[in-house]
Amino acid sequence: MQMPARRESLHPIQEFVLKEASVRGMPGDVLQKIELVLEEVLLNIINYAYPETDSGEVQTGCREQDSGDFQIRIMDHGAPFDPLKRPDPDTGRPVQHREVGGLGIHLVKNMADRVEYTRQDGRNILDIVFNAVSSPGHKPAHKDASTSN
Amino acid sequence: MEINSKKVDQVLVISVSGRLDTTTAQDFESSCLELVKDESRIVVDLQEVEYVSSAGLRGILSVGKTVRSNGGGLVFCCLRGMVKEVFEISGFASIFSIYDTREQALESA
Repeated sequence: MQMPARRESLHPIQEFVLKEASVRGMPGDVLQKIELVLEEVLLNIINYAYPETDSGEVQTGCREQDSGDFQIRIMDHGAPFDPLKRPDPDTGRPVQHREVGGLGIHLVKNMADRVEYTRQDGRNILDIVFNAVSSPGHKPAHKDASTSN
Repeated sequence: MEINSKKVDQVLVISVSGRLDTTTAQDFESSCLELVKDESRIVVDLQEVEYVSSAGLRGILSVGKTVRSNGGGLVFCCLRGMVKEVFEISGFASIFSIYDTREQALESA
């Protein structure tokens, strides 16, 4: 799904991915994490990927891996930016000294099961994977759920 | 996103419902800053909040800083699901006092 890197694109992209994830049986708590991760990553791109032009695009795709895990791929043509290299915010600082920056990516890294950045052919590519069963204590309906084609 | 407030004895209780995301965070922040202006003991009840992102956290932090710099105290209660998880991951669960029930929060506010 290719959309202009603008705020108006956020909800349509979230809807598209959440529908795909839901169809593939991702549980409700994971859907919420997916929604959050999309908001954080997409807003980053929308706000910062194309500082000099107003016409950049963001491309979002998703698929179920053979393992049953759910993978989201988000790509943009902005300047090279590896969000995973950003230092984590100091989450132990007291209120008065807490900075607000960097929290979004910190949430993404902690909510997703795997996040991987690649720079390829002039594109930033972020792959975000959610395990089929990700939250502790959550039991799948069928332990050996088949992923046959 | 909806905000309601009421006074319980000397404590201002702000109940939030809905989503605290990039579209609602500013509204949340400005409404809360207005509400807490002359208050020193505040409980924010997040029972009905189903979603919070970093934009929502920024609003919460801004309100928290304002209250503290005015010499007041602000505590949270009734976090659930992903909201609780986001508070924990971001460290907000350790920089703010969080209570399971509104009664506990009222006693400590």
